[in-house]
Amino acid sequence: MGDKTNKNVINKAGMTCSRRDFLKASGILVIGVGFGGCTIIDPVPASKGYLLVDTKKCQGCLTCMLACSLVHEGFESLSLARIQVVQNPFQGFPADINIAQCRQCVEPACVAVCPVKALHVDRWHGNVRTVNTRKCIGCKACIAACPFPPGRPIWNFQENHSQKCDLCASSGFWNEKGGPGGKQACVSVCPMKAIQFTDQIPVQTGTEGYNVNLRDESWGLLGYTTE
Amino acid sequence: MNGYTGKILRINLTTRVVSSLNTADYEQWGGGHGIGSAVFWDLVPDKTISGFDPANVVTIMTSPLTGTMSVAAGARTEIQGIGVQSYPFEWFTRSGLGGRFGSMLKFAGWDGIAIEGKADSPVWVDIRDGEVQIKDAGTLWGLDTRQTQENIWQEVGGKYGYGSWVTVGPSEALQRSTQRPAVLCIGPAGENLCRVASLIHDAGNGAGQGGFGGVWGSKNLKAVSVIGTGNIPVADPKALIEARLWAIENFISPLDEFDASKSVFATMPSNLRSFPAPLVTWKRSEQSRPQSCTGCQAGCRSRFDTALGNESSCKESYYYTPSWLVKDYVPSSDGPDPQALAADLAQKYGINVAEPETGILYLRDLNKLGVLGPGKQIDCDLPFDKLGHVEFIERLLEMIAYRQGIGDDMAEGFYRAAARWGRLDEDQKTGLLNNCYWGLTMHYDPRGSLEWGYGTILGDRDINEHGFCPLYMIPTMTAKNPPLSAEDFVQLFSERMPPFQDDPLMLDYSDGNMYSEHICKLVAWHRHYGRFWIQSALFCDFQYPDFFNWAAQGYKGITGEGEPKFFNAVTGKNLSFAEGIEIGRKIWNLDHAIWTLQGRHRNDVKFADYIYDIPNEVKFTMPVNNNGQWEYAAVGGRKVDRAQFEEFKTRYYELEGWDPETGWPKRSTLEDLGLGNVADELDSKGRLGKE
Amino acid sequence: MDKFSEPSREFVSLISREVDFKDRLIGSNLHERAGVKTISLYSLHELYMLLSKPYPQIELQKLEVWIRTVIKDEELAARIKTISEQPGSDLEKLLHMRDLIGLRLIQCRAQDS
Repeated sequence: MGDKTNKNVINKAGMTCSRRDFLKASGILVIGVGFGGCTIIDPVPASKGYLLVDTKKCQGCLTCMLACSLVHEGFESLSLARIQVVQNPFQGFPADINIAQCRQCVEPACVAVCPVKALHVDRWHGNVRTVNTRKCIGCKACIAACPFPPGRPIWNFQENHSQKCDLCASSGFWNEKGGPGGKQACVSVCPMKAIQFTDQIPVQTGTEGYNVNLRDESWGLLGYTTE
Repeated sequence: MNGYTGKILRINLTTRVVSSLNTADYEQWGGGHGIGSAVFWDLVPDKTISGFDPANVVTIMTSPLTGTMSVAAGARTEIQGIGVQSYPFEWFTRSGLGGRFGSMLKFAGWDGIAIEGKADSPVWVDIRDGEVQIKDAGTLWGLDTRQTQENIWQEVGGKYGYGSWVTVGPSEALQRSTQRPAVLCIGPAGENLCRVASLIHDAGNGAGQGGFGGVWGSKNLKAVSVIGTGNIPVADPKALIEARLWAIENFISPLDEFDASKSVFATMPSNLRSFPAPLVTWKRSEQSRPQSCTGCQAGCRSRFDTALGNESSCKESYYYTPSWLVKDYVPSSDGPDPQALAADLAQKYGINVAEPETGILYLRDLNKLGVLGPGKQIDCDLPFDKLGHVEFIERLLEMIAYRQGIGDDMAEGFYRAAARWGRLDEDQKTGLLNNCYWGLTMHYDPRGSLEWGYGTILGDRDINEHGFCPLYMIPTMTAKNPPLSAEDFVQLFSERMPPFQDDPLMLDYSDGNMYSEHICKLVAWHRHYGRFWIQSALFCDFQYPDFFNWAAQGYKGITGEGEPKFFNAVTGKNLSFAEGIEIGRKIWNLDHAIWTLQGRHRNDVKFADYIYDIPNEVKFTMPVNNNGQWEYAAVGGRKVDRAQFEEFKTRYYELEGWDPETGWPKRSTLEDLGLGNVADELDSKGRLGKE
Repeated sequence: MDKFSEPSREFVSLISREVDFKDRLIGSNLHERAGVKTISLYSLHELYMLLSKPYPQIELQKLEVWIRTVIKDEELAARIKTISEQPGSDLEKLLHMRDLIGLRLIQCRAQDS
């Protein structure tokens, strides 16, 4: 039998990475199915949408979090918001703010570890990585699996399931159509336009693919750095 | 109860008992100030006590909109109680702050907090959702406000490190947050019972007026920390986000349509976006960002690469006047910007900068006069040779915070300091001490800004409500090319001032109209609107009322339509704009009843002598009505006439339904407002107005 | 703008000095949020700094009289008077006066160095 975990993968973006290397770097707990404890991860289609943020443009108002929880849950919540903005008021710019948006990873660790495929690729909604909350058994493996702190899958302690950013595919509490083909509440409300939707796959390693420069000349005219 | 959590936390520091009140019992008051006044009424039987008395109750109140994405209404918190700053009465008063404290309190499941009593040793309150503990503050006492907050963050969530999820409460429940606790605390100034001490939250949110920092210090209360993982129910989520998007579309300037000619208006209360051009007067490095309170779009503060002066804006950023006045200011590579340092230190010590703002100029004048300085009649070691530099402001704030030397006098406020120095009468006659109402520093001049001066003296404190500033600022700043005719400009305001919308003469500040019934209506409207929509529903004064808006069609701002739209989307009620103002009238009457019980009589309602005897020099260009025609003209260069102001007061009291002989509320007025019990209390104390 | 006559060292000392309390000039700084800040001015330099703010307010005639009788710069005062008699808003005139005062201060510095 071949060691499929060593097989290189060429994904849609033309990037290659070893599955073993990816799993190692992610620190993912590989759930044993089949070959000597190693999972065969079926290739999943890439998402048709991604959120890019500019942490240097963010004003820390948390409106994105309030909008996210409102359109998904119907109430305001910071803890159940599927995008998180973390800030330290005493720290100097630009390290005072971090934005943790879901990366809709090309090779999503959270999808890989879900034992019941509740966290799955939603082919009906542009391949967003999302949770079927009816299937979720509350094992929290997805929450532990996310390699990017603070972890992007959210534990909904009120309904005992996980949930995550789906680019507003399941946002029922506003009049817009969500998902990669529609609008995202956080993008719509951000006062600084510090969140942008793209259908281009960002560079998957590091943060530069997802934390980008959205500041143009008009931002510079306001007296802020455009670098 | 949509928008509300349903519970108000009640903390007795003397007994260390934690209990709660039902918000439903106070819902008729709306939120914020209304609830705070009503709770105060219930919990403080003797309204004549000092602010330092343990029986004083300090309320911290949110509104149903706090923690929601209502435009510029998701973040404010109202602080009330008997203050210690005003003179000669320690009025029952208010202050407010932004940031994220109020919203976090809501997420923790509390609409507000009522704090009474005095702990027998320094304590802080640790709120984690529904769990509330009163903890020993021995290691926090003595720390500045930054150190205090960082210590508390470490205790509450430090083992996780911020940047990860922090578990709040029992670990198995996995109720988590990525947020640091929101902390409201005092610095050394409050610990030392300074009457000019403020409450500080994060780097630059402060409740300055009233001296509540000193009140907390008298209670041995160092800090209140809150972390919440819960929800805020919204009656109509779709309507709320639609309202937000409507506001963005119609009332907020697009970010990329920057118009340099309008930049001067960026910080005026004249559009919902103040551009992300924070009100910071020191030379701001481009290595910075705008920063906003929870849910707000305005970006009126900043964070800098140096972190010095983070989140400070407005008065904190420009109170140190000599730093630009006495020398050519050039950013020094050798040290911090004096204005930025001044802001930073004031926040850390927890000092209300409104006091040193005029106080520093007063000290400077006394030094020039030869009566204050080393070895002088008022002996002090302030380094006047370093006035404008960091050394002076460092020493001054340290003196005040720790009551060192004449700092012990200044900690009482400059009005009381002047009295201690034997200079009060003289300097109030000339205006050298620029404190003109209730011993408080002048913000806007009663001789020019009628709504401000009159509203302040008829109330308890510098009103700090900028809603009518555009009426005089915009024509003054656009003198050659005002955006609208005088008549059209006035109409933008008057048409949205129910129930007085048919009287545009309310907005004529000319000499002949200064004491008229029209101006009475202006003042009454401003008090009532402010008490409900600004201080109870907690729409931020920085943005509301939004009468004139550069970004809006016909410059017609969001006010009148916007406030009820957001309020009703969240609460599910059907409150009209005018109905909210009527609730404000009720709240204003309750406050006035409290002041009456504190001893107020119309004879106490007077400005400092110089307001009556010396004309002001500033002139605003304003709309005035000249024989039925509206035109722009210069208004100012005048005094307030004593006798005519007394006539104004009589007219005003009659308009409010108060006894003009005493200024006290009448039973009929109170009963019409459903405040019969208040009338009974006043009657029992012999302070009910005659019918 | 016409040049000022060249000042002597003694004259520079005179006009750039700090005056006593009783001789101060009162000006105001108008800020859209802060309100009106009343400020005592003790030197020509401080007057210039106030006038460099976006919305200074000083009574024009008082300013002219102060420069003439307290600062004792007759030439500058005459120029100030000319400006105040021209059409235009007070703010425009104050900005013009600021530039003039700035020129005078530059002269003073040149003498000092």
